[in-house]
Order: sequence, then C-alpha cells, then structure tokens
Amino acid sequence: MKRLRIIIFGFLWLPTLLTACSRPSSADEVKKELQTINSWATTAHMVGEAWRKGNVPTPYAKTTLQKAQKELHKEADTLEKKASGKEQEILLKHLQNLDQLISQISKAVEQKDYNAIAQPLQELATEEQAVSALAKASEQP
Amino acid sequence: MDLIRDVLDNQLVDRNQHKIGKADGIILELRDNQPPRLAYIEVGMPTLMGRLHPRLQRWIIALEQKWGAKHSEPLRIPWSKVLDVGIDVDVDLEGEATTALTWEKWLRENVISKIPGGG
Amino acid sequence: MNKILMIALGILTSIGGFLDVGAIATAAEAGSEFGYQLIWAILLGTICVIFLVEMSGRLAAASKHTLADAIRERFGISFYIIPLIAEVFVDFLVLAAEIGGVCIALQLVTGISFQWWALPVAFAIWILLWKGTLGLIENGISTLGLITLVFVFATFKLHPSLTQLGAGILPTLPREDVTHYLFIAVSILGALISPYLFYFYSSGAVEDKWDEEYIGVNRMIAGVGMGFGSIVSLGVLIVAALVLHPKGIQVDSYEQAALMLTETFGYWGFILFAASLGIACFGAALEVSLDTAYIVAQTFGWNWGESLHPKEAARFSLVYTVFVFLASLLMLVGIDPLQLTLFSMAITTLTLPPVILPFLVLMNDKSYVGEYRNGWITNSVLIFTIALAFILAIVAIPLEIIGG
Repeated sequence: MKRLRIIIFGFLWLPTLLTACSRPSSADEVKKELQTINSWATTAHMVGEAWRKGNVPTPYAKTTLQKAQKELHKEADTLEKKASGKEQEILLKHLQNLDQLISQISKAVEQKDYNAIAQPLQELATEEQAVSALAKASEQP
Repeated sequence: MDLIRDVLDNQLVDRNQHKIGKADGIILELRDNQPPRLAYIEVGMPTLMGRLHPRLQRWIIALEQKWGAKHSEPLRIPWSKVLDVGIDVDVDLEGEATTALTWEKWLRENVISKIPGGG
Repeated sequence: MNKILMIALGILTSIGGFLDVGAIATAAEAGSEFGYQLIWAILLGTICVIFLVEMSGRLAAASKHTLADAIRERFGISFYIIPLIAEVFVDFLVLAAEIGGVCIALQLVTGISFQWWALPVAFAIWILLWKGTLGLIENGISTLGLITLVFVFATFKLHPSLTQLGAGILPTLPREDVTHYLFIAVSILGALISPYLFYFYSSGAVEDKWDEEYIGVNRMIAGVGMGFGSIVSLGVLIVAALVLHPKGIQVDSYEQAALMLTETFGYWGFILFAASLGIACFGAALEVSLDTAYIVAQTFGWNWGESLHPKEAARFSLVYTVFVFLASLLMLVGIDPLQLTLFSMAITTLTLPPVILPFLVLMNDKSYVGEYRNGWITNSVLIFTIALAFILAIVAIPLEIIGG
C-alpha cells in the first residue's frame, strides 16, 4: 500500500517537474511576442482586405479590428515591462505604426469608405513584413 | 441469485412498467441457524447517501424534512412483492401510490404543469 | 426498408454529436499554429471514439441498459458517484462552451455581442428539448449538420499537397513551442473523446429500443458516423493550415477562425463558417443537456426519455431545464467562449479514466452483453485507450498551465 502511494505521488511530481523545467528563456518570450504581434497585424490586414472585397460584414470587421488593436496594445504593455534596449525601441515603434494604421483602417470601415482603405492596407502590409523579418531574425542562434 | 449483482442498484419497475427508482438498499433478515434472507428492498435518497457517508445521509434527511415529502421512513418493498428479477426488478406495486414517486408527482403538479407545454 | 432508413438516420445522428465547438476550435488552432503536424491527433482520437461508441451501442442493444445504468448496477453507487459528479461538472462547462459557440456564430453574422444571445439561445435549446422528440432532434440537427461539409469542399478547392498531408499522419514534435503543441494535442483528444457522447449514444439506443438485431448496424453507424465527423474536423484543420498558417495568423479567437473560408468562398465562406459553427454547437448543446439529464435520471432510477412528455418525466425534464439556463449564465456574464472551450476540453480528459475503465468489465461480462463480448482486437484498443486516458488526465492540467 505504501509503495503504491509512493508511485502515485511520484507521478504527481512529474507534471510539477515538467512545469518547472520548461520555463521559457527571455529570447523565447520575445519570439512569442513577435509571433503574436505578427498574427494580429496580419489578422487586421486580412479583415481589411476581406471587407474591401465585400467578403465580411461591417460590424464584424469593426469588432475584429478593435480586438486586433486591443491585443497589440497588450503586447506593447508587455514589451515595455519585459524587453529593453534597441530591440524594444524598434518593436515599440512598429507597434505604434500598426496602431495608427489599424485606426485608419477602422475609420475607413466605419465610414464605408472603400477607397480610403487601400493606402493604409498597403502600409500595413509593409509593417507586417518588417515585423515578420524581425521574427525570423530572432530565430538565428 | 446474487443479491448484490442482481438486485442491489438495479432498476425497479412497477406493475405498469414505470420506473420507480433503483434498489438503493437491501434489508436482510437474520435468522437463527439459517442463512440470512432478503426481507426488504429499500428505496430512497437517504438510503443511497447512507451507503456513501453517514453525514451525507443526515444532511439529506434534514433537507427532506425541511422541504421534502415529510415521510420519515424510506420506502420498503417486501420481497414477497418482487415478481421477477431480470434486466429490471419487477415489483407488484402501483408506483404512484408509493413514496418513491412523491417528488415526481409534486414536480408534475406544481412546476411542470405551470410551464406552457408541460400541462 | 425501415432498417436502411434507420442506418442512414443513425449515421447522420453521429455527425451532430461528434463535431462540436471543441472539435472546431482545437482543429482551427492546430492548423493555424502547426500546419499539418497535428493530423495524427485527430486520427487517433477518431479511432478511440469509434471503438468506444460502438461499445456503448452494443452494450445498449445486448443488455438493454444504458451506460450509466449499467455502471451503477455493476459497480455500485460508491464507485459511480465520482464519475457522475465529475461528468455533471464537465457537462456544465462544455454546455456553456457550446452555447458560447452558437452565440459567437450569431455575433459574427449580426454584430450583436455574444452575451446578448446567451438567454435566447438557451431558450431555443430548452424549447426544443421540452416540446421535441428525440427523433426530431437527432434528424433535424443531423440534416442541418451537413452544412459542415463546406470545410471538406474547401479542402478540395485548396489543393493541399498529399505528401505533406501524409507527413502529418505520423506524430512528430515541432522544433519549438513543444508544450503548446502538446497542449493542443491533448485538447484535440479531449474534444474528440468526450464521455457525453457515449452516455448519450447508449441512452438514445435504449430509447429507440435497440435489440440484438441492431448490433451489426451499430458497428456501421459508429464507424461511418464518427469517421464522417472526423473528416470534417480534418477539413477544418487543413483549411486553417492552408489559409491562416502561411500568413502567420494564430487562432486565438473565433473572429480569426472565421476568416478561413473567405478566400475560397468569399462572403458565403464567412456565412458558412458561422452557420457551421452555430449548427454544430447547437446540436452539441442539445446532446450535452440531454446527456446530463440522462445520467442523473438513470443513476437514481427516475423515469426518463426525451420523447416523453415532460409530465411523464418531471424530474428528468427539470434537470435539463435548470442546467441549460444555469450554463447560459456563464456566457451571459461574458466569459470568453474560446478560452472556456479549451479549458473544458482539458478538464474533460480528467474524467476519461473512470468513464472508460468500466467498459473493460462490462463489455466482457456475459450477463450484460451475452455472446457479444469484446474480441481481442477491441479489448486491445480499449486497453490502449484506457492507458491513453490516464496519460491525458495526468498531463492535461500542467500543460494547460504552461502551454495554454
């Protein structure tokens, strides 16, 4: 009975060990942030494009763009707390740009201005590529 | 017949093939110099809870006395009333007349019938 | 002729229950984040479910007992009370998540926040349970559920490379994000191997008065029905892998998942995604609500049956009524549906071992299944599934914490 108890508790420690051993490194964390930023920036782009083509309804586009902005703000907050130095400055600048562009896109959607949306969408694509490149660069050992 | 396997925890059905609960407990009668005999099948939440933990049983009894059917004795079905033990345990009783369906009846009359489509 | 109809309808039935909010959410996340790498998880889950569902049906047909009935009878209340409470708790969370799925689908199309939809959806679920019959629910939802085939069509239109698909059939670990990968794998398995499916299936079989003649049909229904749902899940994963993954979009919310059909089908793609999500979740919500009422009523020996008038099964009807409205409260107060879905899938894995273990005894017990006992293949798969269930139960919560 005692041996059984030891075995069972042994198994319960395993997950705790797993949890302890897999603390992500700070490089990993930055990588994750970049992926999330890229994900939401691309989402905003895809939503904007889809809306322009008439593939998604306006309320959905508005809500999703708002959500993208919110998530990017969260990323900015996290970055300010965690990273530091040149890298952080560059990223925060990108996040600022993204925020501005998404605001412009949101406004275009709200005003149903199918023409005004083209420009910010293009610039958004450029920003995304920059962030994406950063993400790939951070993969180098 | 294995009492535990074939009777205890098995479904009870009445004369009209209506489900009236499960055999929550069995009461054995101990006799001198003879093997014990099944005297009653007991039906009721207190009996059931009693098998899990005495405190649960006391709690359920207290609940029932405050809000419940206000019958202090669990339903006891004498072995003589058991017609057949198969997939279910058939008993020669009128389910509606026993305390097994008190809650069912109460809900039916006071709640279900008041909801549109339930009456 | 009647038999053939039964088969066709039975097969359709399995679809409605298999594909639900958990299957869609986990497949979308898996495809968007890891491409084809998690195809094996869906296949593994499908095989396990096919065997378990077949056993539930065979048990019902041979013994005329539902799973819950049989477990309490064979193992006693002292054993069964634990899986019962666990299952009711999990059903509550899953039901809230399914209601959330329907609400999100409505939000996608109308723009009105999902919280406003919680009570109307709960009411719609309730009224169908209250006034409808099991046949109406099974067949109605299953027929509507065919709309989910849109994911399969999209897959064909997108021309995935078969060799790349094939690579996903074998389990591999990704180069990075291993814990998150494992978390999603566990969530997929938890979403597919859902206990409520077995309880519901065996209850439906008893309510439809299956007997030994149905044992052959049951095998087909289990295999083809679950297989069909599996193909749709794979469709969701593959479409997400082809459309969202290359763009780097990781599905963290339903709004992102909703985009996956727009490139292939334009505006209709968006609508069909929402419709598929809504219908699949609505069907699952009906099944989970019924499942809870089934297992509670069957445990305590109350009169039960969806096709019965509520008057005839008062306590049974009360259970699903209270349950549906209580569960909807979680959505009313605004709990994030996707997070709740993933969480409840992880929790589901905790309840798997005590639910699946009894199969090993019941399906080899002559007094329950007579001559239709498990063959050695079935028993082997069952033992493997039980072992898998234990592993999932142990790693689910830690993975949720670190990889969620």
